[in-house]
Amino acid sequence: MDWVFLNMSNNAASKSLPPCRSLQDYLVQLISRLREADTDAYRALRRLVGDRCACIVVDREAILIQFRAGEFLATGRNADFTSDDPVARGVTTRQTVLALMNGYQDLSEAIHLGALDMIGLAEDIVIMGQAIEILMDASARTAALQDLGNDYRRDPCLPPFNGVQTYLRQRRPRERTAAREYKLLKRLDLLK
Amino acid sequence: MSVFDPLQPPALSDPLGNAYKEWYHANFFDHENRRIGLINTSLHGQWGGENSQAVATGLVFDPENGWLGNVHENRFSDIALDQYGIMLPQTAIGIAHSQEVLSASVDMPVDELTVRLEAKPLSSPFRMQTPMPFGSGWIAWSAVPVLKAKGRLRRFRQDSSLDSTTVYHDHNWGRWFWGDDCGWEWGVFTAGDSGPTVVFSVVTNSDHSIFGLPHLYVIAGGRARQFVGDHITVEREREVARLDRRIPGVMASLHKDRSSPLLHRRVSIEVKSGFDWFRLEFSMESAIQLILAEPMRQGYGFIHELCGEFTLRGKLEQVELDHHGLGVFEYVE
Repeated sequence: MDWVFLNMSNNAASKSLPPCRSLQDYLVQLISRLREADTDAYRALRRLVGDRCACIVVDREAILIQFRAGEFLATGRNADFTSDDPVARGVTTRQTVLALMNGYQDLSEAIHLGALDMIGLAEDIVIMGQAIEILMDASARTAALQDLGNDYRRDPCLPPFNGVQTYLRQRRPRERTAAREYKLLKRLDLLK
Repeated sequence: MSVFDPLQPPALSDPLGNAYKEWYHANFFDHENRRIGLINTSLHGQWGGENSQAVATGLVFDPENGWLGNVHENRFSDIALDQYGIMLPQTAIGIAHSQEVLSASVDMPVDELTVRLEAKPLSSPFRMQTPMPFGSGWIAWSAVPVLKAKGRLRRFRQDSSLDSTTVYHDHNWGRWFWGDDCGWEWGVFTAGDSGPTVVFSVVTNSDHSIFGLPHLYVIAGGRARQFVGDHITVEREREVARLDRRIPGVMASLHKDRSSPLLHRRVSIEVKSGFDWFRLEFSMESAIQLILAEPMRQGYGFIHELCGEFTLRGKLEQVELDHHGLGVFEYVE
């Protein structure tokens, strides 16, 4: 089939490839860009996490993060890293991160399916979640953070997102279940 | 005079310039395959500002796969503009002014979606260019409600034709901040047998407890009719909706509390005016939530696109109406 129609998209903007970055690079960039662009959000984040330590694991990369003496530290660890100290840990895969960023998977779904694990003391997990909320809220008004997200999507040294069909298929049966659940709740007059 | 409108960028001296919003929008309706497309190119915030956003939306609903496509945020520096076009990396809508042709495209290979569309108007435009109060500012819009398209759709590397699909186009601009106490309900309904197209709109407050004056346009048999205010009665059957998708994903994760909104399962719009009487019944099949972040200050808008089918029955200018087709109902809060 001929594609004779005009491609009007401004492709020039998306041609240059972003640099290859490690997970450590992305985390350092995330915090330094936040500090530069939104000092209020950065201060709120510092106050919230204090001197707590967390470990972020994406595929085979594990990074220990912490604010120490006013500076953000991100240190590489073996993905099987264990510590005597109870350290909150977020464990996931690049494909799950991209599915979440691209709106193909819901946060609750990712947790239910075991694609995203949050491990640690309840208080530390809550604080980790709140820290992520601060970052997401700031990103809505900070182009430099959105750019970093787009770089992560297009990182030439990391595999691209390849799960559109898989994730859409996963959602459809769930929708049918939801519809049945809704009808049952309605019949039992439990929706009010 | 063209049926299409040029862009309305703010003047440098505009005191509300940082609340600037503008977009070109198109829907296409493929009745044979029951697919509905949505292409939108929008600008939000101070013209050219560091954090201002140009948002590309390209979506296709098909009953087999649900909602394909996505929403992408871009900087103003990533876009190309002309008097009649907003060209973003992922979506573009522009008008070949001299030829009266609307072109639209979607390029989202990661999302398995590509669209090319050219459409010629079959109806006159209607214009609401006197700014209406909206949130902390105002809104204005115009529409070309019926166009006939030719084009191609590629989904999951499979091509199909969009020739003979019906297209709807509108252009919105104004000054407000997402998160203001404002919203709207809007719908476009096109019959599959080259029958009528109906466009409905009403502005509301954020929780839809206060409604402005409703407007309804019917384009049938080459003629357009407008109805306003008390001639229109709207009944809404709402329920807690299960959304098919919520995008962009980062904003969906941030607003987990908005994942089960109260939406219209059914909408009934009745018009009575002199000898004219008709009723449109819309039934929602699937819904998607688009979350728009205000780039100039903290605030969010929640746009719900409800896809489904409708029936239209009654009498207009002595002609019996008995049609069905595809429709989109938009619920914004």
